[in-house]
Amino acid sequence: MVFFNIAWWALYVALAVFCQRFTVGVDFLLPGIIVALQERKVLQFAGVFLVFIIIQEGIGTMPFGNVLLWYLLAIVFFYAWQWFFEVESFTFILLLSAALAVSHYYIVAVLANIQDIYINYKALQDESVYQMFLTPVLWHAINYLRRGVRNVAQN
Amino acid sequence: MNARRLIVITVLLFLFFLGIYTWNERTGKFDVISTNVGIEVTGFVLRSITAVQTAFTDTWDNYINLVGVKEENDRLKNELFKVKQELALAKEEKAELDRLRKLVSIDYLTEWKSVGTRILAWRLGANDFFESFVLSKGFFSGAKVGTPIINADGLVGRVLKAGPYTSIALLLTDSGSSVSVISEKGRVSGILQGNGHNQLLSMRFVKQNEEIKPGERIITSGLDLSFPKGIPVGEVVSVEYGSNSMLDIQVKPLVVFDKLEEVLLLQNPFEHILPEGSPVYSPRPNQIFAPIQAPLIVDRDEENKNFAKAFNEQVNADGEN
Repeated sequence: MVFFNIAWWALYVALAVFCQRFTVGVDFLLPGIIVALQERKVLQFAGVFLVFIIIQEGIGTMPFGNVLLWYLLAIVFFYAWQWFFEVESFTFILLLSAALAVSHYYIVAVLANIQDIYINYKALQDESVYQMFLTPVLWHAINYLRRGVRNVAQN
Repeated sequence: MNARRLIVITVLLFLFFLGIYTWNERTGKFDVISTNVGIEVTGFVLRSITAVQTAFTDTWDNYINLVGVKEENDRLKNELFKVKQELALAKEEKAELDRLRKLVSIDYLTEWKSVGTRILAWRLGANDFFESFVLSKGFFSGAKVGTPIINADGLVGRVLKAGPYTSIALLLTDSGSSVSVISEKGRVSGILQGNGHNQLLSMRFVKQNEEIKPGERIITSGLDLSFPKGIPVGEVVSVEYGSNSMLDIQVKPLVVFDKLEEVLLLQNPFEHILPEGSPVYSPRPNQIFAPIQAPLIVDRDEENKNFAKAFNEQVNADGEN
C-alpha cells in the first residue's frame, strides 16, 4: 500500500510538472498540498510538503523563500478556514484558493521588492487570478482520484 | 482547534520559515539541494514525457491513420505513405541541419567551443518570474552558471541555474540581464539591459556626445569576459537625449525568442583562470536610475576660513619644530 501511495504521488508530480509547461505561472502542486492536509497523515504530508518545496524552489528563478512561505500559509489558512466550513466542501476550497491567490501576490511582491528584483506586477496579478480559479478545479479532480486510493487502503 | 492553538501553530510555522530562510541565507545549502534535485526531477519528467509523447504521436501517424484502407490498395498506399513520411522527415531534418550548419559556421566560435541543446520548456511554475527557459543540458554536459547562450541570429542569454543534466537560462530580455556591448561602426560602448517580455532593450551609460545612430548593430564587447567579443545582439531603433547627460538608446534584439527550439552553449576558454564571472542576474536598485541630486552649494567664505586656519596651524607647527 505504501508503494502504491508513493507511486500515486510520483505520478501526480510528473503530471503536475508537465502541466506547468503549458500554463505559465500556475502551481499545479498546490492542490496536492491541500489534499495531503485533508488526509491528515503527518508522515505523508511531511514527505509531500518537502518534495513539493524542493521541486518548486528548484525550478523557480526567484530567490529562496517564496514557495516555502506560501505553502506554510496554506497550512495556516487550512486550519483557520476549517472552523467555518467542512474541509471537503467546495466553498472551503474556493475561499482557501482565493486566500492563497491573494497571499501569493503579496508574498512575491514583497520579497521581490526586498531583493531588488523587478517583476511584471500585471503578469503576477493575472497569474494569481488563474491560480485562484484553477486550484478548486484541480483539487476536485485530485480529491476524486485520491478517493480510489483511500478505498483501496480501506479494503 | 481553538484560537490559541491556531496562533501557536502560526507562530511556530513563521519561526520555522525564518529559521530555514536565515540558515539558507548563511549556508546556501537548501538552494544547492533544490537546484540539483528540483531542476533534475523536472528535467527528467519533461524529457521522459516528451519522449513518450513523440513515440505515441509517431505510432498514431504510422498505424491509426492507415486503419480502414482497402486491402488491395494497402501495399501501394503504404509505400506512398512511407515515401511521403520519409520526405517529410528528410525535409524536417534538412531544416534542422541548415539551422545547425548556420550555427556552427559562426566564426567567433573558434576559441569558445559550443555545445548544442534543446529547450524543454519555458517559464515553469508559480515561482518563476524571470524571462527564462529550461534547457536539456546541465553542469555535467556544458551548461554551467553564466554560460552564454546563442543561436544563429545572435545572443540569447546566459545560464542562470544549473543542475547536473538540466539548467535554467535567463533571457536577454529579462530586466535583470546586463551585457557589456559595443556598437559595430562607432565603437560606442555601453551596458545593454532587458526590459521584460517583448520589450525593447535599453543601452545605458552612453554619453550624449557619442555617435550612434538608428540601424546600427550592437555586438558584445567581451570586456566582462562573460561573453566572447563580437556576438550580434541587436539593432539600434531609437536614440534620444536622456537624463544625466546620457543617451537613451532603444535596441531591438536580433533573436526571435518565441521561435527558439535549439540553442548553443558557449564554453568559456578562460574559465579555469577566472576566479568568478560577473553575476548572471543584476538587481537594479532604484538609486542607479534616480535623478542626480542638485550639487551642494559650497560656502566659499567658510571654505576660505577653514583653509586659512589649517594653513596657519601648519605654519605654527613647522615654526615650533
